[in-house]
Amino acid sequence: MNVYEQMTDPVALTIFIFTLLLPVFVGIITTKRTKNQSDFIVGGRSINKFTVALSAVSTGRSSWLVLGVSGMAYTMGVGAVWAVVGYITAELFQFIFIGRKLREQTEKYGSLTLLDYFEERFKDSKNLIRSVGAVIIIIFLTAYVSAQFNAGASSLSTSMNIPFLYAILISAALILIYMVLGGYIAVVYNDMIRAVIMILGLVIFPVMAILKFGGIKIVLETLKALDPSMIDPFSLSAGMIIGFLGIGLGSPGQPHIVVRYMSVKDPAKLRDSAVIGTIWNVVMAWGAVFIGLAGRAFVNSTADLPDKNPEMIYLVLASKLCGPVLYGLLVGGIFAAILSTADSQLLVVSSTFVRDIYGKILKKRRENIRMSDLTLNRIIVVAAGICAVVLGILAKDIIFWLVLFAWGGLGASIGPALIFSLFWEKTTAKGVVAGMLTGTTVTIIWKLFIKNIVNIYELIPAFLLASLAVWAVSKLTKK
Amino acid sequence: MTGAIFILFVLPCLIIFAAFILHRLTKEKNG
Repeated sequence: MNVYEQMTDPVALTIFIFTLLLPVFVGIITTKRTKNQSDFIVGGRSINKFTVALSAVSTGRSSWLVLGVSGMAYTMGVGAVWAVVGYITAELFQFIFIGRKLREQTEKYGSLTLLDYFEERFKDSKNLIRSVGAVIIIIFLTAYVSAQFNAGASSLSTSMNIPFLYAILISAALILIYMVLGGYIAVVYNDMIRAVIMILGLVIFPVMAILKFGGIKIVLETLKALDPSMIDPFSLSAGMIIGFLGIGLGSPGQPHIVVRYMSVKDPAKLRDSAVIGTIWNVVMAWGAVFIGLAGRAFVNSTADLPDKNPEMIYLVLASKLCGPVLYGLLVGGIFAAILSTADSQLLVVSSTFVRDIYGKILKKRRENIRMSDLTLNRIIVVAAGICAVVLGILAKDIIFWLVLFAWGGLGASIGPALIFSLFWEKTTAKGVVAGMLTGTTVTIIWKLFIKNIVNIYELIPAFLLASLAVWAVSKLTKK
Repeated sequence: MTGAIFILFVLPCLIIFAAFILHRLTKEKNG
């Protein structure tokens, strides 16, 4: 079964290409607003609450939500909801508490990156935090971007029947053009547009699928007849439910998500962003779950899916139920999800390189030559994009190995350090470094060696031990 | 079926309700 068969329809293809090219126009329009490095990295701290809300939420959800969560719901039924509850709740608190405080502190210190903030907060003149943090962020986020390019290119290659190499180059070029032109501002406004495209994929589409099947009651009864555990939210093991909820612990440590809070014009408005963002998060997540449930009612067995892969259910349903216009938009929605994450991560990688490594650690910052910083940012965005593409082609195995640790590794290393630094006065630089190193190490060791014995998601012990490390080392090294 | 209805329809409403409550509480706290 070729789920991209409908892409041969000229209308579907045109709509799909339109969704791919639209971000480039946004890049052109936002070029004039990007005048200096601050604009390029945090949008000059001038982004409105609505854009921040939608962008923070969209950027955190890659194809994992559209394809992964719908696939989980297809396989395990309503229990898949546990996979989304943790991060939605965590991000609600993040907007209100972490976001506001971080926004205020970063403005006070004039920080453009998370590592800028850490350095200023702890007067870390030896760049200890910056060096450790930069290595962690660059390794994990480059792997992430590379994997996103790879995923996007695989789908593009199949859907448009073009070689993988061309597909990955097209995916990267589409992102890099608007990023170089408009930087952060282009990225967040594109997130807004993609949010609209994703509404079609994750709101209208599941409603349409359920109605076509005769309503939610019939869908649930069909699932019950297939396997009663499909409609039992507690059919999963306690360890699995805790692990799913634990995904939320990763959110505060994702630099590409927290940078959104730093860019809001008025920090007090982050309360409003919290409500807007939570509604959007809930709508998207439950939409993906409903797609999986309706999909299982339509296609009862995984054996009937392409490659027997449950994650194909979104595309299978789209090709079965939609006309060319909606189909083109829905496939565009997958790319929207992939690209809205990849561009934000790429921007963090380049700003970490330019601002943290080149500017501060190597001390090659040229004061008062703002245009040079901006130009350098633009060049590094392209260089980082090319690196991610090359890695995605040549070091695919290493990239996919690293990505397994990326959400947990970033979440456990950056998250506790950030939370303690914001809310506990007595946190020290050495405590933060200890937390970062502990978080990364425990994530990797737990996943490789301990998870087979104790089946708990590695982020949970890593986050707890990293928090303990920040607290204990700060106590021991307090002045 | 009750569990399914709760997790599919009641839980998302509760989360959104919590967001509004938190919005309200932090407003009072921040003056």
